[in-house]
Amino acid sequence: MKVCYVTEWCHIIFVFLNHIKKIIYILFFLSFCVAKNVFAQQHGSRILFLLDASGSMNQKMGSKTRFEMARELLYNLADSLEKKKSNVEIGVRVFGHQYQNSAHNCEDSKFEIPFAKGNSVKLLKRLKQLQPKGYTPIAYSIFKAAEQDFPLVQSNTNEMLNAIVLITDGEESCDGNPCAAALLLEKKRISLKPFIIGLGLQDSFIKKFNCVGTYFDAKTEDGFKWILKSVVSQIMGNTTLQINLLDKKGDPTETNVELTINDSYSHQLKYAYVHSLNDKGISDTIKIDPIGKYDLVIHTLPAVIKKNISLNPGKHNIIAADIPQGNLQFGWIGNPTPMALSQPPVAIIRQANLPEIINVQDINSTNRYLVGEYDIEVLTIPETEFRGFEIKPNELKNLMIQAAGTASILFGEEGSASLYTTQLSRWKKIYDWGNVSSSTYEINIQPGEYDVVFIPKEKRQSEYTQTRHFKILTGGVTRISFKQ
Amino acid sequence: MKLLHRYIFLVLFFSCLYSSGIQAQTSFINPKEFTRVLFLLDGSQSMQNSWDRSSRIAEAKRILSSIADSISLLQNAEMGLRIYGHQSDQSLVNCHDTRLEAPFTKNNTKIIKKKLETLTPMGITPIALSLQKCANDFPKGECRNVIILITDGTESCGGDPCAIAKDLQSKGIILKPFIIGLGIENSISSDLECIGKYKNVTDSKSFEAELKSILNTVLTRTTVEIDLLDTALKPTETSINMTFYDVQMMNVRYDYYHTINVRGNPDTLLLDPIVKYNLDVHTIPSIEKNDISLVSNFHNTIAMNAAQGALRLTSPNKSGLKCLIKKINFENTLWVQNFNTSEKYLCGNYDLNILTLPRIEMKNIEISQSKTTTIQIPAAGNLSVEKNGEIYGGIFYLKDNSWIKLYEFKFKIYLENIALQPGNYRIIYRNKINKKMKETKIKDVVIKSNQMVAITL
Repeated sequence: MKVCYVTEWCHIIFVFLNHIKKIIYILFFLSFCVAKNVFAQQHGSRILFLLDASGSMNQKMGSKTRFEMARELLYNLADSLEKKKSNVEIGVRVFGHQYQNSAHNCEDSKFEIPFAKGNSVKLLKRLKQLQPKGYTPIAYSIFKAAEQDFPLVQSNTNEMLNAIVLITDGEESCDGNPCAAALLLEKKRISLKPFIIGLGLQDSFIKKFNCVGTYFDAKTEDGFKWILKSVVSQIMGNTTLQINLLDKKGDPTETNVELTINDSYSHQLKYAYVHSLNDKGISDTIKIDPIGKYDLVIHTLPAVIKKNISLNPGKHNIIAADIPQGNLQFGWIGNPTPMALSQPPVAIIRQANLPEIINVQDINSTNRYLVGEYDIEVLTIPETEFRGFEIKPNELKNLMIQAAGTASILFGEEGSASLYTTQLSRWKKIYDWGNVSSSTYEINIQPGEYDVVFIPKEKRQSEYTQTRHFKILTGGVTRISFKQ
Repeated sequence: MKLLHRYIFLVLFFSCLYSSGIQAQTSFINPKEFTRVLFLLDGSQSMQNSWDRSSRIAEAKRILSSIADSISLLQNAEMGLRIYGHQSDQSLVNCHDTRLEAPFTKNNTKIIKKKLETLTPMGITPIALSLQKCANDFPKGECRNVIILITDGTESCGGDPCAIAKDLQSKGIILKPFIIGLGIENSISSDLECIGKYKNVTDSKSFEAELKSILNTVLTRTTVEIDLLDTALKPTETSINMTFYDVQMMNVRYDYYHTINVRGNPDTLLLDPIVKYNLDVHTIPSIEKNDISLVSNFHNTIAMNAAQGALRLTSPNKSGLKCLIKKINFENTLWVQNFNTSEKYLCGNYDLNILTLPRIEMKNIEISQSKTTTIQIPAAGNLSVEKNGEIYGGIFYLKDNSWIKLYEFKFKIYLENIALQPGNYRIIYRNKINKKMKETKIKDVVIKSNQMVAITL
């Protein structure tokens, strides 16, 4: 059973440490490359850390260097993941550690520690041997990681979760384009969901990662913890979401409505569900990736949108939305003529005083709408308008229109013809045949009194205009003839 | 007699107008064009006063007699005569002294003339009561009923002729009355002015002239040309229906399709010059001109900007697809146009909302002079949805980065056929028996024109 439609997706977490005026900037850039079932039980996961070991990582950040901080964070992450998940394999690619700055080496990037289970201690040991010194080829490293380090992701063997976590303190120093690297991942049917975490990062830096990243604040130790927790939760899939759809009384009884959940940043659809209540009548819970912000669209009429939803990682999150609904039944009073039955009118539904059409409802149907007032235009001839039509909670409101009759008009010769109703003592055109032939024309009209005006073709004098006044009754056929 | 000649001329002029326009429709006489003229003549004592070497009554007799002759020649007019103050001496103060002496019939000229001959003014002036009685003097039926009041004094029985005249007009019994005052003093003229169109005359020559002018107005129809201007301000727009309303009566007086005559000019219409008109020209949107007064015996030209272009909506499908059309910056639907038709609109910009699935919105579509703007939409495809069980869900499409629901499945219908525009759609659904949200299923479908895609949920 598929949980979520997303076939393959991928996040990159990019951990970025910087220390300017004692503020810590962190950039998470995590890539989960998952085929199909994101939250189904994964049989194995591979997490690749990309670690910045460029010269600037030697700078002190409190009592420790940035590199030491990064190493610690990496170890903690690896350790937490291993403890929570037995079958996770961790690997590390390091860049900027083999050549001095003076060497200007933009390909200084190496897959140092291959994927293995229970790797965290070994990993820490190895990292302690490394000395930061060189450049910062970020894009090159993402590129290499995507291309070489992971085994080919096959869309059908979808149980594997693959992730890239990038920890860095600085800007790409090799003119590499992280966006282009992201594009490569996309081409391999992997979509990116990166996060930039920091505060007061230089605009130019943020912009550079715009194509791949979302910006987060993390200026305190709590920020670190949040990131840690989020990454682990995301990999473990233990963040849950319950969406309570509230009725007029504030009780979560509304259900069976479609929900789409988009990434607020990229606008990509991440989840799509039809809401349900479980056997106990409680809104069903879904598992959700806690990283990032979401826009939730509840597809009622009109849709209800909740923007920029943040989740508490590793926790059960509850979102409530007021969507009290009522039913609108659109029907006929009386029986229309067979011809009117074959051309049924539709009702154009708008929220009161708003221009957007939210639905076009067929006759003899019932639809749910949010409680409120609507302006309704029924495309009969002439139009039937309802202003401020009220939908009440859990009530069935009837929108009834008189069933139409049919006018059968014989013009008798070619000419021009049009149809009028009287409104406030003036004629209002409600139909225009333009040019007519000598045959009989049938038109469905609402009950009432009308005037049809006809002038034979090629009469160059207005005196030849003829008018017929007639009456239409529900279900009745009125015959009109202009034949002399 | 000079005067008679003039009336004969008038009659000829009138019949000319008729024969030119209505040849083909032999029986065409609009009942609204049949006119009944009721003369309400003062027979009070003071009418004996001398006037221009004659007397007021003598001049009135002479002129009315000749008018009776002229009107008898007309096919579309009749004359009646009511006199007041002529039966009881003024010393009796008879406020009921009013009588219809010559009812409306076809050949009443002799009766009228005979009555005029024997008339001797003697009484007082019950104008209000006489007007009231006039209402029943006109035979029933749709007709133009005109009262011409000839008097040398004002109401002398305490009635309110103005209120009565107003009442009769509002009930549609009479048109606005004409009043000719014979030597009325200025100080009391306001008592007569409020009854209708009032004119005071001081000698018999101007009396004659005024009566002639009134009859001219009443019995001829004035010519009117409506110029519907294009963007170059040339009167080339035509084939539009026009409705003329009587402002006072608030009803439709004439309805004519605009035509261009054989000379290539907007056709001349013959309208009643007495009434004021409101005019609707039924373009889309309609244009109107209100409170139009016509000048009698004059070719009136009314120009209106009616520059139009056409909008053609085409779809390879034959279904009754509709498009809502709205003027830009306006909220209300202006017109609903069916597909595979072409309609004219006033030049300008319009917003279109085509009721396909999904709806196609087109903003700021320009309609320009004499051009046809064509909107063509691709043929729809069909999605056939077969449902195994009761399904919650619907069809979605991506618009401006968000997924929009465009169709909700009908809950207890197990086979639905939905016409969709070509494109990519996503179906999000859950079977009612599946209580878990994660059991929601997604199906992507691609719809192509004229092709059917069948899916089973």
